Amino acid sequence: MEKSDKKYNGFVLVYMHLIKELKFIFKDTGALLILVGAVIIYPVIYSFGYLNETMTDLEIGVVDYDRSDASAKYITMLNSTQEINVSCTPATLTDAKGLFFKNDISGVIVIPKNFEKEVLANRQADVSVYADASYFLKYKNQFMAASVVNGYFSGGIAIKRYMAEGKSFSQAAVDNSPLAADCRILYNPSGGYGSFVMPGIMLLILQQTLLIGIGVMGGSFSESKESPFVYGVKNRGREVLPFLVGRTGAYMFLSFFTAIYCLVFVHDWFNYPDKAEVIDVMMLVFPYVLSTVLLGIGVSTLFRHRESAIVFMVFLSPIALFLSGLSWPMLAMPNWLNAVAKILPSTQALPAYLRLRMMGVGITGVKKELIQLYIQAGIYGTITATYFYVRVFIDKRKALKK
Amino acid sequence: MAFKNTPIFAVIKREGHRISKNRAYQFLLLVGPLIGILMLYSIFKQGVVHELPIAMVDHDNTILSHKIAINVDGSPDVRILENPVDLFEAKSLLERGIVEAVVYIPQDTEEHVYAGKEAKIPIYINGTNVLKAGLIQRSVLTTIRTVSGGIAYKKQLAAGKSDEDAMTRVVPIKLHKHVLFNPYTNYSYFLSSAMMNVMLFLFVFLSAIYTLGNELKRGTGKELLSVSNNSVRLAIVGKLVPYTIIFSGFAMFINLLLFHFEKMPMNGNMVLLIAGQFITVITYQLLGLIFIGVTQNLRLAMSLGSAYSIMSITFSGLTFPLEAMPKLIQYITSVFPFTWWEKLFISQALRGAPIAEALPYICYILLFQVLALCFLMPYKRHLLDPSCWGKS
Repeated sequence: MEKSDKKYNGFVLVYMHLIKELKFIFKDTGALLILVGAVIIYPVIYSFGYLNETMTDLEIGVVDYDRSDASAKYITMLNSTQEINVSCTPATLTDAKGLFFKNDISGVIVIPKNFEKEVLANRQADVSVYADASYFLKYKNQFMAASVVNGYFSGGIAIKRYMAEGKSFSQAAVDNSPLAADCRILYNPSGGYGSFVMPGIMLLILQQTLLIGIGVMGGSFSESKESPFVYGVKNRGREVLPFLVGRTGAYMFLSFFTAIYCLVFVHDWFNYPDKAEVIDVMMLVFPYVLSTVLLGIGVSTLFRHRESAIVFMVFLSPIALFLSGLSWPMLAMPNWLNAVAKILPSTQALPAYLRLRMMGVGITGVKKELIQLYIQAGIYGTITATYFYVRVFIDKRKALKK
Repeated sequence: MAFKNTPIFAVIKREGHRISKNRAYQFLLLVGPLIGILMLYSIFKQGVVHELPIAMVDHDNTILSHKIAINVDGSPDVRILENPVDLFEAKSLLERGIVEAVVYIPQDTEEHVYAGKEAKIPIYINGTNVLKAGLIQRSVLTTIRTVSGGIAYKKQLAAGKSDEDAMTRVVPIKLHKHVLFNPYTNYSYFLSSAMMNVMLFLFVFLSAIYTLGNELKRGTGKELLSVSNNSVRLAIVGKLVPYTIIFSGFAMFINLLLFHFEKMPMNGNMVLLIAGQFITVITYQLLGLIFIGVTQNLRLAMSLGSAYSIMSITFSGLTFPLEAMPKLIQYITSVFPFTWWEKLFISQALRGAPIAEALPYICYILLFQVLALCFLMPYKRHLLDPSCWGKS
């Protein structure tokens, strides 16, 4: 293709590249699928998965060897918890085991013989819980429910004994637990799983789709694409910055809509905790997306073939999730990994975003991360621009040699 | 006829040549899986999460409050990182993400306890991370209950009760907790085993799409079929076998990391598990054929394929149980072989369930292979149809 040597104003060049990139994106089904399709579908379908927020009515079996009033009461109390549902009362532990392996029940509680007799005789009674720890949430729920019920049941017995010694009810209650912990879960009182994981995941989806999408659109010097520059080889140096700004602008423009969709609409539809002003959210998301886009443009130059970008970026998605500390605390990871994780903008942005959105710390509460994200964007912008200048210079040398 | 002269060997040789020439193949086959698996291994290596930072505001400053502090700090789950002077400072630490919870011991706590008056210890936990909040809640509550029980026990002894009577009074019913199948309640077994296998299947799947799709992209189908003696079955088998072998090696590497280095329990049938893993690898390879058959476009198939793989993580019930998801979503989860693999894995590795329980899962995984067979002839057509070529 003939390259013109006509001179353009820098802003006009920026605009030209911005429009050109957007046109390319909308002509490319693969890229569109990632940059727009995935961003629309993922947050909604994931949110539906977590719609119930908490796990309720875990089916368990109670083996009641005592068959007394006391054991019946204990079972009723278990059944009335939100967490578990006593769906059957197998006669023996062996029967219960069979039901467990048939996946009919997820856990077993055993009330031994003489349970009531021991209680009435002022001796310590026993109850056994068998919980399946291969699934974390199920295990946690069964133990929690059993502990709570056991606490109340025991408390009732102990308080009656104190009262039998002539104490008032309230004094008996205090004597029974001299120190009472008063636990308050802040920012996500229901302990909802979706509320915990989705706001962060949506932020991560924005990053990963951008990185993959930009990669799929192809490196600017990629072999499977013709040169995007307007100027001829000799004058391209002047075009590098407008080109970079234009391309970045195109993805920023697109991200503006996808970010509003995920972080405002989907967030609202599914009632995720929201204690931040939209403007504050956007102020944090701007450097995050900017940093991501510049990283994406930089990395995309490394791929010779456009589909290679998918190969390289996709496998990083689940890793990025864990590195951000969302599902697995950063504390539990080795230091070198935490250092490597800083390459990804999400590592800085995610914890800050959650504090802003769920804890309502305000934009001043995330100032540190805000500055870090701008610095990160600056570094990625500089590296990418430098690389572009070098490439342009090499091309120029080659052209002159001919 | 010697194996060396068979068409299938010719296809394998051709594929080997293609792999050695293209860096993307090498990444998919060696570098990528290795990086992915080792990174995941490092992330979860430490296993149990512990020493989560919390703050304690001690306005009582007595022997009792120090005892509470020492006991809270002594539990493996949390550690007292800061001792702010008041709740305002504590709140700021919480909001800056420096601590995950605040334990507040009000003034006169000790005095109240010994005077038999009500003494409350407020605990404020950052609930944004359900996992961390759960650990802290369990740990701090247990500690305070233990301290509280200790006080009640001593009071009983002081009132002249026998040791046994005092104990019965404090703990009328003892709850015996039996943790099944994962005695260390090591959450990382669960996550790392699933994630490493997801990583494996992801690369298996993408490499199959890549190699099958590349024939269309480059329009080399005619040549492929001429090498395979015009048999599409031989062509596909020959193309995929090198990958099957290498990825089976990676599968064994994962098993080695999990069961040998991480000391994950293996309660069931190892042979069945490895067979299931092998079958799942082949299933994901054949899924590549389905995706290429449907799209006839390498890049579109790669995009859809990656979306499909990543989605399978959430919908395998790994972090949030399937039973707790809406019914419709529960049906959707069955379109991912990984969902069945995860059930198979937990049933054999952790639960040690009878083989009969695990066999249906393998059958479900095999169903995807049967479905893939329907795409053999269409793929042959696409290989020969120039209108399917060149799409990138």
